[in-house]
This record gives sequence, structure tokens and C-alpha cells, in this order.
Amino acid sequence: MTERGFLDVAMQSAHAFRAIMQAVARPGRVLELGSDLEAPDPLLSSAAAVALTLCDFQTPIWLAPELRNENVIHYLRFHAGAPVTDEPGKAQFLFAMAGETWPAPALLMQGTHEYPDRSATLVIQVAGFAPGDVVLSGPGILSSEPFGVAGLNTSFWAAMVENHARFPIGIDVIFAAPGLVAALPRATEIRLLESV
Amino acid sequence: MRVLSLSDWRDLESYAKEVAGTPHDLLRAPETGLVMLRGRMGATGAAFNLGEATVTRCAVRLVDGTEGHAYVMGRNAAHARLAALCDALLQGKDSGTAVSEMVIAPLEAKLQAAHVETSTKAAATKVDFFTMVRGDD
Amino acid sequence: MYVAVKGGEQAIDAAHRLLDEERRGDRSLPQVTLDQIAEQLTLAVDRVMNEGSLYDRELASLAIKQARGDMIEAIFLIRATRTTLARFGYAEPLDTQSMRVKRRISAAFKDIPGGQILGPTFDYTHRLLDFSLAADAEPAEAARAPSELRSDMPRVLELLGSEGLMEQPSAEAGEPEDLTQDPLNFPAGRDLRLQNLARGDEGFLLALAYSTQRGYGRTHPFAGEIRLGTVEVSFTPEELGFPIVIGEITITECEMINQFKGSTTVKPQFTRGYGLGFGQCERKVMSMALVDRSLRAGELGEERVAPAQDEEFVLSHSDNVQATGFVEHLKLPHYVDFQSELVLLRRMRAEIDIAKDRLEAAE
Repeated sequence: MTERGFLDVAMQSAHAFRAIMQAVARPGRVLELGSDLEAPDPLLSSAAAVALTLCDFQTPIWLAPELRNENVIHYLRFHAGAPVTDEPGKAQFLFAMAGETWPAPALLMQGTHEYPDRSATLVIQVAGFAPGDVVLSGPGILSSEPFGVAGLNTSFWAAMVENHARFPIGIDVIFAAPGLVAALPRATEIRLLESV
Repeated sequence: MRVLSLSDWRDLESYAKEVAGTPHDLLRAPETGLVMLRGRMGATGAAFNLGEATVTRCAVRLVDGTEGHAYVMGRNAAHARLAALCDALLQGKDSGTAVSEMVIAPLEAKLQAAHVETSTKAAATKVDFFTMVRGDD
Repeated sequence: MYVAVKGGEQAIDAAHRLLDEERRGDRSLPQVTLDQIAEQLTLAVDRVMNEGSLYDRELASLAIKQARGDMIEAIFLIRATRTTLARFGYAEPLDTQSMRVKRRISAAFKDIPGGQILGPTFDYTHRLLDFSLAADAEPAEAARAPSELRSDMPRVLELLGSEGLMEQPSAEAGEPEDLTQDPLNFPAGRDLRLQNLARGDEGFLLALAYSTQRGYGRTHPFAGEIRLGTVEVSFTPEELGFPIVIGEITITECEMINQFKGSTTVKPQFTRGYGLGFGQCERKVMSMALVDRSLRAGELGEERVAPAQDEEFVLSHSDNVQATGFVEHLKLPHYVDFQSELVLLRRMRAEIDIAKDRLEAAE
């Protein structure tokens, strides 16, 4: 059985797009992302809203093993029209869960210096947000923004520091928690706090 | 699906009148978008992009969970929805037979008749060459 | 330098209202309906669909009505509309072999399997105005033959191919490039060139094709086969994973046969040019096939000497929406640019006067 997508596609996807755009424009800020769609387990409805808003037939999706089941694959194919790929290096969007495994950011599509937009976006499902891991600064942040994500360890943040070093190429990250969204674009500088 | 997409909307509407009221959910509301059409270089060679066409798609779910899909060229939302509903009904044993007989068969006959008309009219314009006899004898 | 100027708002509103009224014309006459345009100005609709690059008879008819019959304006409206619609994907390549033929002719062979089918053509008409149309006379119904045409009309060029006399198109599988997704770069592959020509201005392509016939990059063409008819469109939705028929379109196809090419390893063979377009558009696809062949000059080892062989020239100037945008933008306010030219000209003239005065004073 196929779960229903957005009921009111035009309005709902526009609201979701607005929330995602604001999240990317204001790195580290946690925004609400509610919607009226049904999502197949274990995909969070906020992560599903990201997929249905940003993905289409030209954006291959990679799913982490924990998210990969027939229902989820069928759901993404049906509603987004997006192909699901086994090769992380060929995916434009990758969906993973915090605390589980995913390919190293350096192995994903980084874009090129001519076309930095031809890069991957990693969507990580998380339980919630709690400032304390890092302090963010850079474009879209007035001075600095304390930020933290439940279930992510030092090695993740270290990989993100490396990712920022590759700017303007590199990947962008979107965190999806129940009803919430936040983003960490490649342009953002990251300072790890001692306590992590 | 082929017959449902190719048929004229007015024909589909009239033949499918009785099934149009079957209760169903919209899995995906009718949505109009584009498909890029392709040709082949030299008719049989590698593909190239020719230009786009409007297409309307719809997906429905019957009360028993059966899903029906439709992609129909053009922008007629009602056509896509009714075609998706017929597609779902065609998968059922009894409803499938009924829709085949009531909807698909007459639509197919109409399409066939239209093809015969076009083809025989074109055939009437076929050149019948003959050679003028000339010579001394 | 650009400087914002305000003040035209009311004038623009009034100009649009005046345009609406002029479009309507004499209000005592009934308005033309979209059905009438779609059914009776068929070839105008076909042209707007081709160059607007969107197959939708109803939208093209609306565009023609809104544009007051100005084809390029109508094409512009269609191009603008297509940008508002999401793309579901790419269809399977059209199979023109299985076309339900309405017209099919060859100028290269008289006796071809399946025959010469004239179809609805202006050819062989006397080009005399028919005043019975002015009196709204209803035409007689078309004649019918007792039997249908054969459904598997063989291709004329394949008949030559089987003898090895015709070059065979390469059928390499890769994804074709799409100029609606990535900007045009040179050198362009034949896939991109054909896409560009398919949406190119008919008048521009006609003139280029004509120039090749008059000697600017001669290619010695014969119309190998021209076909008009309907083909089914198949598309594979991601969620279904198998192709389904989503509709049927009318298309015109032209295969030109051009003069030979051979090498030390391949005996001389005819070369070919290809044209394909929406609706009935014979002049367009014939021109397209001639220009396609001319643009293959590099690939076939011919010297590029004529405009029709210069891909950068042809592909950069074929799009009438781009062309009209750049030409017509000249009528928008350029007050500041012009002021700077005026100042420059006055200064140059003044400097000449000063120099002259000095010269005279010195004498």
C-alpha cells in the first residue's frame, strides 16, 4: 500500500520549501516543518516532506540501510518520481539516521569549481536538537550560533569541518527531527566545543 | 491504459458513466506537468530531445486498497482521474470484466474505426502510376 | 549604467486595455473560439507548438488568439507557460516506423513499397484564391479507398541501406543532452543540434536551407522520404517501472539523401540529413534536414565555408524568442546610454573646433 503524499500539493510543498530555504539561509536555526502527508516507517514525516519538496526524476536518492525498505522506496518513486540508487557517490540526496552508518561525506558528490551546485545533500533524521556540540558562524549568522544534534558524535563534526574546508565545493546537510528542520550548509564555519 | 489514454474524453466520459461514481481516494490528485518527447537521428539512430508535451497524471485507491494509475497527454484532470479509476477497477476480477466490456471494448472499437477512416482516406490519395505508351508502332 | 525611472504605470495599464480592445476587433462579430483555431488554423497551431517546443493544441490555440495571430509572440507565450510546469521525465523515443501514415512520398524513387501517398497537401494546387471559402462553402467529404494502407510502411532509406549505399546512423545508447537543462556549449553534438533546430525559427531555417541549395555549402539533396502521420507516445513512470502509452501525436518526418562520402576503408555511400517536427510542418522539417546535413560538415570532413555549416552561427541565432528579445529590447528606454553617447559626440566635435582655432591662431 502506498502512503498518501501532500494532500494540498501546491500549498504544502510551498510551505515546506519555505521552511527548508529558511533553514539553509540561517544555519543552525531550528525551524518548524509540519505537513499533512503520511510517511512510511521509519521515514519521519519531516524528512519525507524534504524528499517530496526537493526531489524529482533528476535527483537520484540513496537510502541508508536502516531506512531502506520496500515501502520507503516505493513511496519516493511514486511521489517524488525519484530513482533510488545503491551507489552513494551517484546520489543527489542521501537519507540517513543519526547514530547509524552512512558514507563519509568526502565520498559523496562534491560538485565542481565550475558547477558547485552539482553536489549531494545529506538529510539526517535525528531525535532532536540541543545546543552544546558546536558553535556555528559564517554567512546567514549574525555573530555566532550555538548548535547541537542528539546522537551525533565528534567524528561527524570533524568530517563537517573538513567539508567546510573544501568550500565552495562540498555537501550540504539538512537535519530532520519530528516536526522540525535545521541545516548546515558547506559555507558554515564550525567550532567544536570541548565537552563533545 | 493505452486505450484509456488514447480515447477522446467525451467517449470515455460517456462509456464510463456507470463506474465514475465508484468510491475512491486520491492517492495523488490530478497534476499537470511535462514530458520531454524524443526522436531518433535518422529515424533509427541515437535519441535526441524533440520538445515537450503536457501530461496529466492521477493515482487513486479503491476502498479495498487497489491502486490505479493514469498518465494522459493534455491537461484534462477529469480524464486522468477517470482513467486511473478504470485502471484500478480493471485489476479486480468482477469489476475488471465489467470495465473491459463496458468501457474498454467500445472505446477500442471507436479508435479502430477512426484509424480505418484515416487510413482509407489517405489510401485514396495513393498515386497509381501508369506509363504513356509511345513509339512509332 | 541603469537608472530606475518611474511614471509609466498608468500609461502601461491603459495601453494594455487598448490592446485588449484592438484584439477583440469589431464587437458586433462573434469572437474566434479556441476550437475554431485548433481545427481550422491547424498549421499555425503546429508552428506555435514546434517553436514553442510544447505539444498542446489547446494552449497553442489560446496563445495565437492572445497574440492576435503574431506567431512569434504566441511562441513566446508558450515558452513562458512551459516554464511554469514541472517535468515528469523523458518519454521513450518516438517510433516513426510504426507511424499511422497520412502522407508519405519519396522524390528519389517512383515505385516504393507501400506507394506514394499524397495526403492533405498544398502541392499540385494552383495557388489561385478560392472564393468559395469566402462564402463559407462546405467542402465535399474526402474520398475513401476500399482498403487501408499497409501498416508497416518500409523506409526508403533502409532500402538503400540494405545495399550498403546509405550511411547508417549510429545508435549509441547514451543519454542525449538537453538544452533546456544545460546551457548550449560548442562544439555541440548532433543530438543538441537537432533539438535546437526542432525549436528553431522556420523562416531562419528555410533561408539557411535555401542558401545551401544556391551554393553556400552545397549538399546535393534529394527528398528520400517525407512522412506525415500519428505516432503513439510511451513514457515510463518511475513508480511503475514499465512503459505505458500516454497519448498520440501528429508528426512530420523528413529524411534527405545527400551526396557521397567514402574513405580508404569504406566505399562511397550516400550521406543523410534528418528533420522531425510536431504536427504537419513539411517546410520546417525539410529545412531542418538540409541544415542538419550542412552542420555535419566537420564530421564528414568537409571544409566549413558557408553560414549553414557554421554551428555557432546557426545554433546561436535560430531561436526566435531569444532573437526577438534582443532585437525588441532596443525599444525599451535607453535614455542614459544615449545621453553618454551624446556627451561623447559633443565633446569630440568641440575638441575639433578647439584644435582648429589653435591652428588658425598659430598661423
